[in-house]
Amino acid sequence: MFMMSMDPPATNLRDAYNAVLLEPLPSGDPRWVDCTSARGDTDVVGLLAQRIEGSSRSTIQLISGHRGCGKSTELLRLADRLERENFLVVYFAADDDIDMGDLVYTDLLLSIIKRLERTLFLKGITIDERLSRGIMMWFAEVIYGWKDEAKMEAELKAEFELGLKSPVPLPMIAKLLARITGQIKTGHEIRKDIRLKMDPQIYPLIERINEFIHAALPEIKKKGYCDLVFIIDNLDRIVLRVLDEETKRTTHDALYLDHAEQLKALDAHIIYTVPISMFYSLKATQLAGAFPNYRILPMIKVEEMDGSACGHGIDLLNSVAKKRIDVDLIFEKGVVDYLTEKSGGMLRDFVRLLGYTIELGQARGGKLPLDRNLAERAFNSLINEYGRSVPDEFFGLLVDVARTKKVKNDASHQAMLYNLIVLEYMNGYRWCDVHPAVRELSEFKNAWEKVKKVG
Amino acid sequence: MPGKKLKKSDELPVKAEIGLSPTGWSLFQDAAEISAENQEILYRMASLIRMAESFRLGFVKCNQPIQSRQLFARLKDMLAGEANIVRVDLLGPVESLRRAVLQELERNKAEGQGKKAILVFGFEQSIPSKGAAPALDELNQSRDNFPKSFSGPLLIWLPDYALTRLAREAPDFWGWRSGVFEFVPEARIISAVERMALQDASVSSLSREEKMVRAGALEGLVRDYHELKRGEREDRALAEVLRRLGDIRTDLDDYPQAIQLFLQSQEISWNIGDKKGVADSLAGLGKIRIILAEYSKAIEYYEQALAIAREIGDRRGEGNALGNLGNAYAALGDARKAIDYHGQALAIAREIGDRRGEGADLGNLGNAFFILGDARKAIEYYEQALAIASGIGDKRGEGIWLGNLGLAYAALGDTRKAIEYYEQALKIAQEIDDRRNEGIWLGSLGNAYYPLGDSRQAIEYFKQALKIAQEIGDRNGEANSLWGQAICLKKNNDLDQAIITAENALKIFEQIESPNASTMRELLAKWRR
Repeated sequence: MFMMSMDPPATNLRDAYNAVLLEPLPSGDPRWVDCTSARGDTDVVGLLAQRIEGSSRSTIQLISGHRGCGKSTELLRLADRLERENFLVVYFAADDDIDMGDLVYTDLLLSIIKRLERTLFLKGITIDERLSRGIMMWFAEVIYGWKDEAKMEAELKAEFELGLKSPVPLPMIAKLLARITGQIKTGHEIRKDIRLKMDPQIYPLIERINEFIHAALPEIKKKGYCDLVFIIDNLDRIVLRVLDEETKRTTHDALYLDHAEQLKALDAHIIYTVPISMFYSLKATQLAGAFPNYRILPMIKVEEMDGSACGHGIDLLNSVAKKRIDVDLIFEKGVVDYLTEKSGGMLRDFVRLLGYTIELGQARGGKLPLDRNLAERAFNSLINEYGRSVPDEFFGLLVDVARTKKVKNDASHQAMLYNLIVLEYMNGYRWCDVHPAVRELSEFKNAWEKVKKVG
Repeated sequence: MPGKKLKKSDELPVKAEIGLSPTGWSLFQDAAEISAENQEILYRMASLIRMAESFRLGFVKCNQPIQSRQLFARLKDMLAGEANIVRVDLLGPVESLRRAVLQELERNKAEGQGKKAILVFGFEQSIPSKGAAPALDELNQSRDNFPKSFSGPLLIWLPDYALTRLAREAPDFWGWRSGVFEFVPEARIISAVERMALQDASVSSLSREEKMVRAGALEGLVRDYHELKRGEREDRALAEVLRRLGDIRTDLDDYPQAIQLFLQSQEISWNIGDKKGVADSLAGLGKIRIILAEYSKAIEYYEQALAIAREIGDRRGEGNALGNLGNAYAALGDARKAIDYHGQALAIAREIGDRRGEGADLGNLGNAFFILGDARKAIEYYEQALAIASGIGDKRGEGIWLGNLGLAYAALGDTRKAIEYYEQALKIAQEIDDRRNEGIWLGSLGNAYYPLGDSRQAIEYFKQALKIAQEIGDRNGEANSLWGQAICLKKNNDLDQAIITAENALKIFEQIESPNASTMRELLAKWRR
């Protein structure tokens, strides 16, 4: 894998500000910090990889975690590890191909075969032409009613000449699959039409994809790879919407539960990302039943369950900062520790707090080192921002979460996890707590006092 | 840091650039000082823009458009020579924020030297306070496309309520933020806008642009009140502001919004026992019902308003209710009742020295006589009304009485004279951007050209009138223009098309219970034979 050339840690405010960005790190980036131990010693990447490495048959696994907890960074690292162990990895972000506001499982299956075809093409792997043509003509006929290959070729050729020019001539099957997934992503009417045609063909569709995989595998192995792995990132961004008011069935249920069998029917190692709220819904047991192999990436622990500081997690976040910024030069002693604690172990909020502190320092004239007072003001901004995302009716429930360190399996608690008001940690078992910024809100404090008075 | 007044020498270029109407500009100047608290936030914002070398997403909370103009001008000033601050104004609801901003940038070709920061205003129009907000769903899913589309800071300005909705309903997008800048309401701006709202009761003669600026400022004021959680005394002010906003929205032909505003203000006034406030809200609702040609409903509202005005001895309110009752009865075809009400209203206007009311009552008496078929008497009254309107500089009134003089001369068979008056009236309506009356005088010109034998010219006018009526939701105007077109079509021997058009007109007349419905029905029956 590639190594990024990395600048030394920033020594002035402007560089420091630009060193703290909220983007996932590519694998191999020297700024990556191993947070396994602070995630409760669950090396999620290791566990996912081991299952794939140790199984000769295909494995289907789920991974889940909070937004901004480092999931994409970890999945890129997983892809890298598997590639180094000679797996052919097809990694893609679902939302690049699919409209996450309106996704059905057939879209995902079509996207998988398109991505596989593209990866094979880029790696110079070709499969039996007769078989490949058979699969192609199946799609052409079912979706567009094209039976004549020459006519189809003319049609696709015209379209591709008008549209995007590819630097290398693409095989016809690639053009066809690109056309199908492109229309699903952007064309509302034609999307409906394609789905209508795909839905009754679901088993033949899965069969065609598996045929393709089976035809590819020997060729893949000829190239020196040991097996094929799909990693589908960002699928957890599928928009949560109630589809049926009576049964409360949601878009999440429709994909991961109603079509679990279809998602599992592909004959390859696959890792799907799942919204974390599903693990806290009433359907959690059903989901675990359908996909026994699932992993949840917890937050980095900066506090223990009893509220005492978790030195190890704090050190880790500190090293995240040190890889980017010359911390001793820019911040007064103790400031970064303070910010780690207030981030709740959420990487994205930690990075955000660093940015806010630097921005405030700059606005105040840019005198170094930046002091605790600035950091406190940065945290105040974060508190105000969380004040917006918490509806009033949540505060009573949040006090319960803070007391019991547990969340209930209902819609409100699901929403709290989804909006990062409640964070999840691991000590060999899962526990939850309210985000430190939310704990500072006056509404929370009032609710807390009320409970204390009652007993 | 204390705020500093804008330098005199800055005023001209800044004014040209921010493009404010006269009211907006004077408010802007009145409140040019920025409080220390907001100044500090502005420094933070400037430091984000100064330091950022790649895409950064920021949110700015500001309720008041006048204040946001002021902050924008100051920010631009602070960063002059350091960064190119590009302003993007969204003029209506959008489906995709990213696409809309890109389109605007493309349209304005806002290319400049050096670092570019984009400030987006007006996205709140895509975020209603209640109900579905599909633009937020779209935003939540498309966040990954933002860094691909923008290479520098993007700051989205929103009022309080809209920012809260965004934080809750587009959490993935919100999670990407690198800064939230919450400007607090400025007391100076609040009182400047309050002064503007309460000083000057009549908005109808202002230009459309001016009305929009005022509506925006008042909406900002309401949001500031809300954020400051003001108490009982201020509730009275809030109700008054809501009514003023209702008046402007009515004038801007935004009836559903105006109805909401009057209902809200009525409830507040009711809760604090402010009877005059309740009556004023009722009158506002009545006025909209008249415009929407729902006359029986209008009469209900004005009768309630009249009873309250008499109970509390509010002569002006009484006169206003009487005059409008007269209008409603006139529209229903009951000219005698209308003359009676307008007569009473006229007496009150003269008694309290209300020139504007006096002019309106005289003109309305003219209308009633016109309906009775006495065009000569109508002309007498219209001329008196016209004289008062020009005397007090009431452009809108002037236009209306000129046009009505046209109608009266047309009834007397003097088509040339009628056309002259209509043209004058049309010109004024266009001048003050009064869409409703513009449509009416276009239709009248159509009516006038028809007997002159120029049915092509007539159809042209009717078509223009129809377009305006449909745009502003004026059902009566729509039906009248269709009627006019139908008659012209018939004259051109296009009977089939004439019947279809007439049927459409009849449908609308029936829906709005217009007395014209029966005439229309007879005409259609005749044509079908």
